[in-house]
Amino acid sequence: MAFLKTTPVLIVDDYNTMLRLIRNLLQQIGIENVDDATNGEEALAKLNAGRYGLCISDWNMPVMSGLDLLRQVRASEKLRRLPFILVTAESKTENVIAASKAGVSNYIVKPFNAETLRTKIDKVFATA
Amino acid sequence: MTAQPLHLHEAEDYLGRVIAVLHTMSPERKGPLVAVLDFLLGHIQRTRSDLNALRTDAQQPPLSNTVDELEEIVRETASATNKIMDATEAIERIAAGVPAETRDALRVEATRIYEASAFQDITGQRIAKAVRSLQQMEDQIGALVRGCCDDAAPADACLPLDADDLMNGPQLAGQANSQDDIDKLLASLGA
Repeated sequence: MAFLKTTPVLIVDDYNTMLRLIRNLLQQIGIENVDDATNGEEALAKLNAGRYGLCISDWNMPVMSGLDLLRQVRASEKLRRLPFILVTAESKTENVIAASKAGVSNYIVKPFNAETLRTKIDKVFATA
Repeated sequence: MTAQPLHLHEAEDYLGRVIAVLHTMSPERKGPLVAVLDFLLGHIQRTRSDLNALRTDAQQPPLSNTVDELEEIVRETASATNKIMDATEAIERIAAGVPAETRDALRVEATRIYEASAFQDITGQRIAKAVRSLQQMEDQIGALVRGCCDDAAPADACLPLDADDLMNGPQLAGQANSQDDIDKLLASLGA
């Protein structure tokens, strides 16, 4: 996780409040280099244009959902290996299965705390 | 056997069939059903009206539909959450200039405030689901009432009811108490 201090994390959520919240929680666990997007389409453009170490995305968003963003990322030659965490209130079994099939790196159910965020990020990079 | 929950698209199908059956019923038999449906519709509309009355900004025009109400709730909670985070970030800036032990303790508390602020997103999504369901119920019941009242139903069967109107259940035509009957009944009860 140390390289996230220099390589930015992209957080994606259609609620500015939630973006601010995740940004603050990431700062609490030592990740300060954070960029954001408000939907999947905007996120995909940023991911293609830049270099990110991790994407943390909401599921339910207008324009392009987090699951569709994940599918686009995994279908991209450039981005397919990008660690990708879905953060969502959708905890139904079928949603988790769909995310897993799409290649999600980890899945965080809202509401969550800083420790859960840290644990999930650590796990993603331990298995990467 | 436990009844399975009805999905909205199934409810729509059932309601269509109910309307078709209602059209085959005589006005006398149909009237009470229409009255009940009208009561339900009125109840939903009153709930929306009550929500409107809870608005904090009287300068804004009345909300026209349930989605507006939802967005208003989400906006207000988001505004409150942002103020909480403003204050927390200010505390963190102040904490940077205090001894390490105090700074660390303040940071732990700031993290707890950030975590608790997630309520805004969660409640917003839950309210969205609940109100969408309410809106669809309102639409469906409204369609049902309109469907019942399209043909030869007696005009008074389609009048809106107050909650008190259903205290004893809907009355069949010809069996209803007249106002005089009611007045006499009340008098006999000492009212």
